[in-house]
Amino acid sequence: MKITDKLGRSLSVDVVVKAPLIDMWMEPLGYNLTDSATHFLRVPEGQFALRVMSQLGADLLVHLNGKLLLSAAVPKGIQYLECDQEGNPFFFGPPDVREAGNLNKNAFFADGVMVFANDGFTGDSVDGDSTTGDGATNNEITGDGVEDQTIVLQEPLAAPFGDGVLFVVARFADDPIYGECQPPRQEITATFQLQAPEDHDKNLAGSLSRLIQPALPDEPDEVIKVTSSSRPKFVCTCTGCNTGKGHAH
Amino acid sequence: MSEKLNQSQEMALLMLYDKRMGRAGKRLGLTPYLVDYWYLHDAQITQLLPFVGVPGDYHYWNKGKEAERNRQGGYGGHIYEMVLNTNPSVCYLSSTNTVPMQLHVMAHAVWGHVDFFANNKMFAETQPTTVLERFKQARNKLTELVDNPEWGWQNVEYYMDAIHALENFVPWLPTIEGRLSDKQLREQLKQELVELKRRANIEGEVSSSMKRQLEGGIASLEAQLKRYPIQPTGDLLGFLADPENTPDLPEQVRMMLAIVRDRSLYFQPQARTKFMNEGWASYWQRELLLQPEVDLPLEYRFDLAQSWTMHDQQASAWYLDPYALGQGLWRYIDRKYGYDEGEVSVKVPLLSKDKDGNPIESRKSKSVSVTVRNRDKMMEVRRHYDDNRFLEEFLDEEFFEFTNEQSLDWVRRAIRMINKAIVRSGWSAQLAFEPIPPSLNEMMQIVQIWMQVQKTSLESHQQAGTPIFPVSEQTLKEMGTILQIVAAFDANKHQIRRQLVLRTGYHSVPNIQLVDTGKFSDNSWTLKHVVDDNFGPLLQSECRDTLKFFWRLRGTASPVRLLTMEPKQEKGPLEPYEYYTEDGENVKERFL
Repeated sequence: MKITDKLGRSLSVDVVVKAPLIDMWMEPLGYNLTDSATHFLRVPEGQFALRVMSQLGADLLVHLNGKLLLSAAVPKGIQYLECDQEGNPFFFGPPDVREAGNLNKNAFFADGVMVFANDGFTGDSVDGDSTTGDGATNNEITGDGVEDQTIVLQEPLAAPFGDGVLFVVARFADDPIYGECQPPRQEITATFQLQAPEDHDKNLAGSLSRLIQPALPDEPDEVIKVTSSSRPKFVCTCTGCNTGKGHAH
Repeated sequence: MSEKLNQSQEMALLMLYDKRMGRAGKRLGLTPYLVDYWYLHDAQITQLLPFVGVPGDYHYWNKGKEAERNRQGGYGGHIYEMVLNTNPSVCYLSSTNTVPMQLHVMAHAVWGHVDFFANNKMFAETQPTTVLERFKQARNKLTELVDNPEWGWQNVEYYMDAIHALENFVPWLPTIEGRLSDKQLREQLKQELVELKRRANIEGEVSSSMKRQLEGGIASLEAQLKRYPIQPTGDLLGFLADPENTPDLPEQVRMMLAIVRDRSLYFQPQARTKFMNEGWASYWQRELLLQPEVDLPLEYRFDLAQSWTMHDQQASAWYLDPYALGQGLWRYIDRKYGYDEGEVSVKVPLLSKDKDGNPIESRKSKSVSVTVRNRDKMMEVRRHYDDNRFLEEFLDEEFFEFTNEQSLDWVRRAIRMINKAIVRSGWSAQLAFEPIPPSLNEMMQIVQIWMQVQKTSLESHQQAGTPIFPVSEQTLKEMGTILQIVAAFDANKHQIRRQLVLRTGYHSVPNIQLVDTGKFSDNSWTLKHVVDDNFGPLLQSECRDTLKFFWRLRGTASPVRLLTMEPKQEKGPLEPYEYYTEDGENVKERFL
């Protein structure tokens, strides 16, 4: 999914898995619900990777099931993060499947990816477009009465916990364009709920009333006009659909 | 008819086709109210949107808010028509519509919606002959109150905001005949109590177990008689408007309650038959215009073919959109229960022009043979059903299998087109999957691979100018959604059916009833929320606000409580919970 900061800079973070049909990555199917910011993904049990696409570099924290797996700096371009900071491939599924499966021991960090040894970001952070907390400021009065403002270190954000919950925190790397006056380092987050295919199908069946329908194509010159972009959008208002009756509670 | 017409000729043409549609509709068994057509500018129509098209509806700040929201959102597209549940009905036609589009909306609005309003029993109590006058009177009364120096806007808003917050809590239509009033029921229970006590005295002396049983019955009746009202009621506005229940409430507030209640009752059937009504109109917008009496010229049919499929732009609409799903269900009913019963010959006057160039019907005619279709089942459903029953009964496995097959067919066609485009655009042949695999999982993999290529190609294009994959992300998402819905159906047919029924609007109104006003006990009012497992607990902020608004509308300062169920822990079981206010400002909460 694409995440954007207040300056309009964006980076795309998505889960990818290996395609059985041909030897390449593929993006699992998923859905979104009206009452949740989580992206529900249909992921077969086994190894997966994170595809990070950005025109700028980014710093990432990756949590799975509430546990921090990776803290890394990712260069610009299209990068695939396949393993945690201990070199273990990212894996989704119960432990017995993990032990029985042939994990790709050659999982590696993409070129240019730097792994941090510490547990989290130690820089300042402010509330971005997401669920981060506020950066707190301590005002200390020094001996001569002048306030000394220091930035309190951000407590590591408590990652959501749950089976298959993949939580990614990202922020943009410094951009040389700005020189010494770098923009605030906003943290932005994305939550993915990885679900095995059977569970995913059952859960979708139980959530269809809240499913967000995909948007219509908006590129009139796409080569495949699977739907016509010139059809009128018909708005029928005779049945009170503008009264807002029947809101979900 | 392809030459350009001036406005008066265009009007004459539309009325001519209106007459033709009338002949066809009559033969098909459609019986709408008479219709007044109002020909309006787009701006005039959009001005009416917040009032749901009803001229003379009262002004209120929430309508201004909606108007602004509509304006910013581009009104969701061009408003082609609006039609009102009135008798005679009012149908607005937009001045920017082409002639074929006007015919489309006339068929859709009049022979679809107005016929539905006139025949579905849910609308029987909406009093369509007087609604325009009632709404105007309501507006005048509210305006008078606002202009009254003893009231003014602030006081009117103080009460109207609260009433609007509870506007959905009105009786469930249709009204059940022969139901006992609270007074009658109380009398009946009192008599039963007397009888039980008499029996306890006599029969209780014979058998102690009988005595215990009777005493239990007596206790239960006495407890019931201590409550007021005897029967819990969900008609909160009606209860508050009754002077017997709220003797200290100002008459003006009672008037406001009655106005909003009347308005809610008028619109309730429309909310509860959205899928049916839109489906009905979408069905007839095509079926009627193809009847021989209408005799559409070929060039109109080409334009109309596009309009007829406007709700099929996305295959997922066949599951999720009221128009497409509703139409699909009506067609299913027609396929399953309808049958052809012979042919009939229809005389169709040919079109000509008078000396001023206005289109007229000539004396010459042609005879056309048309198959007579029996649609008795459709007419029966039209009369007696609402959305809940419509979807519960007809959204069955057979319908789903048919729809799933249609949507998978759409996906396969898309895959074929994309394969061709990949080869044509010079992408690697590895990405074109021929033949198309039959299994759902393999089709999912194809879409997933294409999604990966599409996104990475877009990123590479932005960074290095490389070619973009020839399919948009939205198309691939649409394909992915269809495949997931079909897989979900295979996983749990019952649940997916249930969820689609829940998408019908009116069922998301929480079931909150007034169970006691404390008239015979402590004067505290008690509301009870009957939890629906499909929706789970209420939003806490809404509980507090609802309670505060309800407190305002009683004319008394006695406490109000709302009993509901909340989980003690996230995803834990629901347990009894109480919201309580004594002053209408501070709300206390606790687990019981």
